[in-house]
Amino acid sequence: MDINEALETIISNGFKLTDSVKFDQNMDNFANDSARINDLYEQQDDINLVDKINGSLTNSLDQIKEVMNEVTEDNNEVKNFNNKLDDIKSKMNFNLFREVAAFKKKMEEQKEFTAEAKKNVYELKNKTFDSEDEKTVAIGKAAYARTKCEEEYKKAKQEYDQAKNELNDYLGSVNGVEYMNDIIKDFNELQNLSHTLPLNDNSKNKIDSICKDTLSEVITAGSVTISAKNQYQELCDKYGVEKKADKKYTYTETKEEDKEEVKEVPEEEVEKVKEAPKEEHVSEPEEKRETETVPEVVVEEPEIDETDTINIGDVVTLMSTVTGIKALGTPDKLTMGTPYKIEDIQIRNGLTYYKFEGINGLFDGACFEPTTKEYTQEPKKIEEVKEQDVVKEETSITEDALKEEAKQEKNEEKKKGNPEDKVEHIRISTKATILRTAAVAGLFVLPTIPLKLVVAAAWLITEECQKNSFVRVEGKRIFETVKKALGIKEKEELEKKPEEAEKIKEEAKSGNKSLKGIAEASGLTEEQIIEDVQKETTPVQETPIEETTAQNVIEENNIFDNIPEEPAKEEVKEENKEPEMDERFATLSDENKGIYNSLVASGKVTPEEAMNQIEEVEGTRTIAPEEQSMGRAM
Amino acid sequence: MKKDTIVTLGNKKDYYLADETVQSGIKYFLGTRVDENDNPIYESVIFKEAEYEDGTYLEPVEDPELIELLGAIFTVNYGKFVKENEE
Repeated sequence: MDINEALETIISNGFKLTDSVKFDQNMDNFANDSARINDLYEQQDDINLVDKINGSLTNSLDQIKEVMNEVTEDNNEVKNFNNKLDDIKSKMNFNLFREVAAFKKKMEEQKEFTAEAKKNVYELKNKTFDSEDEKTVAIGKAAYARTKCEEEYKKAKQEYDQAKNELNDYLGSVNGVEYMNDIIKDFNELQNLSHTLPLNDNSKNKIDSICKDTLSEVITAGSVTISAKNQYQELCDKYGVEKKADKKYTYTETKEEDKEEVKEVPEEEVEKVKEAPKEEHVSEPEEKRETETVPEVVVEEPEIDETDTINIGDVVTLMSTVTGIKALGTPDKLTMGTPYKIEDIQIRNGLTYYKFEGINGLFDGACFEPTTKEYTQEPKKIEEVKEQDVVKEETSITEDALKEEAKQEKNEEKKKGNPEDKVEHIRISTKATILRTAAVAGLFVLPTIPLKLVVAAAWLITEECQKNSFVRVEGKRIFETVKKALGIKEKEELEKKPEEAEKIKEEAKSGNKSLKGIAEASGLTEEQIIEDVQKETTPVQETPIEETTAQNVIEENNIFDNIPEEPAKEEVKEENKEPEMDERFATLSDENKGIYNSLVASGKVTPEEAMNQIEEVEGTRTIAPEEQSMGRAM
Repeated sequence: MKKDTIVTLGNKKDYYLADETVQSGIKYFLGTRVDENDNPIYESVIFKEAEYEDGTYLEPVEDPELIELLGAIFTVNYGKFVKENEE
């Protein structure tokens, strides 16, 4: 690397030289390591650490709150616990952080929509249409949608920036590592306090586990940051460079300066974009688009830049007015729906502004869409436009038709979800363990999941089945589901890669062996499985995969060779002295299951109390704690 | 939206959200359908969480490559879950 290239890399990556001798000695590798230094710079940033920690905390505090809803008493222990929670919330600026997170999420969604809309425009430009009219309409619609997306993105970004500024004031004074240590201490205390709460064991365990998970996440985040700090410093020392500024402090200040600049800087001082030949992208360097001040919200485009479709000399129509349009204090008022010819394009702070022929001032490009209607309204301009953009030629679209199309596009772009996918109701499950395994077993019937993965999961499921008594309730169906998945995948892969038949069969065989484990752990006999598989009409069996029925598996693999005869159900019941809540639930009649759910949902009793009440009515034996622990050991 | 809950979708089907993962800022769930008594039906779906103006949606993931990737992630998570239960 020659010195000029090296210096360019320094400048373009936002570094400055601190030791030219060291740089000179090591500059050959600098180009390779500069990206790494940039990454480390982000990772070692205290704001990122606090962000990560608070992300974990927000989630954990929500979960703890849910568990605490069960608490009806108001004793000192509860007060102490709640005080500690409040203490943590206040320390982390909980409400503000949540607000920022919500705005950020919204902004990122809008960013995605915008990128998608830009991509659409780009794709349409390169697509072949039956007629130019059709092409013009399609591009016009897509460009309108893009403009709306950009507006929404800007709006979302403004909201985020505002909240983020507020948060930065708070974060600016926080030392990430000290903050992490504080939170670790607080969560340790919280964990200890939770043991004294008037909660059942399940709930206490849940809080305990939330605290453990949070601590683990916080510590992991801290380790990453500390390690990044060290590595960053090491590389900076090696090359004799450092990043120019700490974004933490420039963020707010720069935003304010930006506003001033927009209002006061004369137009001639604003960075200009030279007129580009047709079809050439006019894009400013990536880093100048928002990255200087808010690196975390950079829109990953610019392969499809706004200027892809609009160049000097093009005619655009004002489609909307947003605050940005007045940002440069223009004296002339534009009219909605009127076409204007672009005399100049200027870019400032990542935003594109247009200067129009015969009109003073700059106008926010996001408010305009490429237009064609001037052809009928202003014949003089047709000639100019014809020379500039072939796509816009020969069109006879009327203003009304275009508006109608734009309206339709706007409705489509509103992005309403499919009503079938809308979440209407959420409730807590009482059968987490069973359902977790069922979910994994059911997953493997989905297309594209490779056989290898199913085989691996089958062994995991076997392991789980061997440990948990729930298999006595679900073992047979898990067996069927895993078998079905194995059968489907084996068949799929044999068809796809016949040359690897041996290997595939070997894998499937290994998977089938796991079925033996499932059946064994389930306490199912060969006869039981065959009988059940034949007579039951579960959804799994409705799928016509004859060659992979349980009976075939049993016959082919002789999986019951080593299963002890009849692991009697009574014996199993005796061993299973302590059913967990979900197992106890499974033993209830359908009617009582409904009663249990209603009782728990009422919030007046804990799940444990509800279960005890119902079992008493049913006459089920109450289990002593010492017996419970014996049962768990199996 | 979070895991270990049962959601009822607009199609009136109930799904237990067994696991979740965030990839490129998007949250995905492993959901499995349950009947009216919360018993498993062994019909699993990978959902993408989406927020619209009128609420949260769980949209089934259809991209085969994404399904394969997420399937692997959920299997690994399940492995951890099995190991944790041992402790």
